[in-house]
Amino acid sequence: MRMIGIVAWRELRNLFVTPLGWTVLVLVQAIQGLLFYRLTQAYLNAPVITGAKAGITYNVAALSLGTSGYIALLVVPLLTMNLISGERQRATLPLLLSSPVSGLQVVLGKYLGVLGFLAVLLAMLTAMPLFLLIGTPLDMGLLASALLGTFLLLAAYAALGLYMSALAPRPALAALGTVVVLLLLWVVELLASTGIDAMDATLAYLSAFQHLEPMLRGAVDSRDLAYFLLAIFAFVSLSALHLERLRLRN
Amino acid sequence: MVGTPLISAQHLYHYYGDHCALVDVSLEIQRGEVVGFLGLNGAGKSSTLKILSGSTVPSAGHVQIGAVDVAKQPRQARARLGYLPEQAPLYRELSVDEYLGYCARLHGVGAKHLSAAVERARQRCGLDNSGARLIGTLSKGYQQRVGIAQAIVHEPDVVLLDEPTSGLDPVQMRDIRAVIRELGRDHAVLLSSHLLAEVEAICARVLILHHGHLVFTESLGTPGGGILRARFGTTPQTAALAVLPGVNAVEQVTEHDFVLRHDAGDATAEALVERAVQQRWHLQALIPGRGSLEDVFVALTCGDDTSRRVAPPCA
Repeated sequence: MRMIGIVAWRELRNLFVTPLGWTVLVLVQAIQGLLFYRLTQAYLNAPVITGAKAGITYNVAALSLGTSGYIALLVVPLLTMNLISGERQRATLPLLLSSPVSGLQVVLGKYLGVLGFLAVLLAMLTAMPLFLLIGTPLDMGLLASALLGTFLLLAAYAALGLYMSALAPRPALAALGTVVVLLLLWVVELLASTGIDAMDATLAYLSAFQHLEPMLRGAVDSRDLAYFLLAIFAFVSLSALHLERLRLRN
Repeated sequence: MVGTPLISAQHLYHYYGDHCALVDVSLEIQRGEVVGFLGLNGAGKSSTLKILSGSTVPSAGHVQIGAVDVAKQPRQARARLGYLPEQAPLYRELSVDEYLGYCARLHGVGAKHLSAAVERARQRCGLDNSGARLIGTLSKGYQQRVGIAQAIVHEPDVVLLDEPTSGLDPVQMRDIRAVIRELGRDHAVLLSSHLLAEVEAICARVLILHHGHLVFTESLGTPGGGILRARFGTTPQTAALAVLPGVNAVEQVTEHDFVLRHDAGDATAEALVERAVQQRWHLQALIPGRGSLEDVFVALTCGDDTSRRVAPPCA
């Protein structure tokens, strides 16, 4: 546990000693700030909405969090690309491989480090809707559900990015691989929802957004939780296995 | 120095695809020994060190660090060794102290001893005033020192150094060698190198690897011992040369040329000149040379010329 913490802390610190982490925080915050402003304005000018999609919490807070899932398609791969392939490229991997740390500990540490960074990012994004509390009450249950869903979505992306980073010898390849897979899942969903293709529901079920949507509306379904947790578990374990395999190959 | 070896490898084999990089390599190193690891490029030095460090799993064979089997208890074994790969594993964006602290914690140094361990490693490697500097801004020589500091910060029993002085200038080399010699006092050190002079200067024992085979594993003769190449106008008896003080072996190369292997010191050369004058051997040239390591190395690794006589490393 201690070793995982050491690796995680190093990874988190790494994101903050390089310009990459700060740049990502600034850019995402800028985009989301603009979006938040537009959503608030649209809500204020909108005719009365009723039903499940009524209320400022859904229309401003949940929707802006949900949109961050799309921005994350491009941002998470940048954050995860260096996790393992960065160490390979800089020839620092032997330090970890010859340390008394198992592959699983390295992988978990690095993953938790990125999750820590994503938590900081989400905290900044959540701070904006919380300012609405000055003028109006918010549905805290709905906000919590949307936040959980968004975090799980980002965490699943990060797990995929981690695995790609374990596979690819270079960070750029890892980032590219992650983006391609994430976009592919998104396209699958688009095709399914527009009905252009005879894409059946099974395939659309793979798309992460399908599982985020209910949570943005406040419905925490154990099937959606299972989807995200399984994806995380699968990619983290695969990464750990692959890291141990690197010992055999190099 | 006999006891349980700190590091022992038995019958290591390693394949890269079909290419066999190591063939039946076995070695043992005791505490307090600095062992040199020689071989041409591609002979398998780095592969062996990677395997000993636990960062590569051999195709066959066992490695033990102390009494711990690397395959069975990898983490316990790796905690006891420090490894500097061919390319130092440095995080350029960290300061020296941050980096060494991270390495120490990775190897299980507790928070209480952390700053003392970092301080000591810095001191030993001559980095006293560089703690706050970013590694990326250091010169190559200093980066190499950080690499060595990283390998010893957790006070490991075994230190593995892969070409620790490559790419350094002569002054930096001298400094790093002093560090390694000092390490040899209470660790077991295995260092690979291309430089015969370096190995001769700091190692008590030498392993030579050729095409993945360990072809030589012997102690070097008296440290500092050397050879004299002499040419005489009047050819003396070989026996007359052999009785000179400190001479271990005499070899007649041509009719007029002789090679004398001798112990450390200048006594042999002095006596030879004196005797040559007395006996009227007409000494025409006297060239002091390096010890026998070069001969051994060349004989073992150049071509597969088995007809060439392999000189004994120490008579």
